[in-house]
Amino acid sequence: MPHGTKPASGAGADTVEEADERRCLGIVERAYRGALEKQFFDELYLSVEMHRQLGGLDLLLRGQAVCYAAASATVPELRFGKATVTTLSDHRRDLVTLLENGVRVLAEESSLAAYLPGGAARLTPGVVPVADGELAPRWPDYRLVFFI
Amino acid sequence: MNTTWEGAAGRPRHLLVESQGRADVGEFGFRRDAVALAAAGRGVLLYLVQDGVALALPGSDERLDAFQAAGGTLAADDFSLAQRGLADASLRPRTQVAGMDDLARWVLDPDVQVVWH
Amino acid sequence: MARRIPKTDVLVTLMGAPHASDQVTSALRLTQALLERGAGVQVWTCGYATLLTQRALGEDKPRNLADWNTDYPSMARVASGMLEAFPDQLYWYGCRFCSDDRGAHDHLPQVVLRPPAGYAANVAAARRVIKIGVI
Repeated sequence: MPHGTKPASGAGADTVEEADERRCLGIVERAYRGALEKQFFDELYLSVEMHRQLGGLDLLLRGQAVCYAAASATVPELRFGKATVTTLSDHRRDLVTLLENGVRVLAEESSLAAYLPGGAARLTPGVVPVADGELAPRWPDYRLVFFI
Repeated sequence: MNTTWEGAAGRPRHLLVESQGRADVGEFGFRRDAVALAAAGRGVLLYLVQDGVALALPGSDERLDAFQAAGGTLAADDFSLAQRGLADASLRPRTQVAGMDDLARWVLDPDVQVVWH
Repeated sequence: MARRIPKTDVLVTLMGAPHASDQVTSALRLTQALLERGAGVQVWTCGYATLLTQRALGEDKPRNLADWNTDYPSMARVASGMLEAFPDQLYWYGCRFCSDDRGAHDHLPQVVLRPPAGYAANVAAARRVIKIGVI
């Protein structure tokens, strides 16, 4: 994929600005931020939008966020008052949505070892383990790097 | 100011902004307190919830090793474990998987002091 | 005349900001479990937790464009549902200063805004106090 070029400073009307076609890199470090109050609009839902609007997203999971990739993760329903809330944040399901939409989902190996013992067999299919720090040297290849 | 960094104008460089500091005591001080209470012979139950359930994994934190060795009781929240795909994970020995009904029962016990970190 | 605070078994003081962790989820899970055991519970919110009971939140969260027909309850609805289900057990208070400081107003009718200096009276009315989160 060709790298986009930046417009020259003071560019005149004849200059054609090439679109930056590089993907973005999002990093999730802090996980589980409001199952009840966020419900569907969590960082993974936002990531679908980033992917769609910014031309493609790679998403790196770090720390306990790697548990989002646990194939066996479930979300029990909870009762408050007399009502059962069935719409708590479901990160495993949202991760599958990301994968189906073409987001590349990566998970750091030391975090997997620490928080999801059992190796690749425990991961949602499609999630790729990466070595710690493996992506940082590739940050210049991304249009934008951000925490989400 | 790193003049080498500024002097490299025109070449690709990185500006990283870090707003999260590592506060050592803020991270493990509470667990250290739990060890001290248990070592003093006080009956202590450590209920792990939210991100805390990761401490129920074997080898996760030497302070929890010390806590259990000193006679402390460990419980891990069922909802938090399920969220993290750890409902069927091997936990530390003698870790009780509990829920909010259990926690409520313990909270209502007049002999129990509750501290939430 | 000072407001009379109904006596309860537990005062849950919720101080952390919503949307930053599962703290609100945990606090309300515990509150529900206490209520189901027949306990009387006060919830006192401080800081950004005071925003949980604003009527402006309406009954429903904004539409999920990816799942148009699913019902997503707002936090105001969750709180009012608990208050309606346990009318003589659950009492909800909000810190007036924190609420005003964050521009939150027009709370659910069952929510009583209290001055920070009144917190001691709520503590005195509970057998047990649990403080969850930091402001």
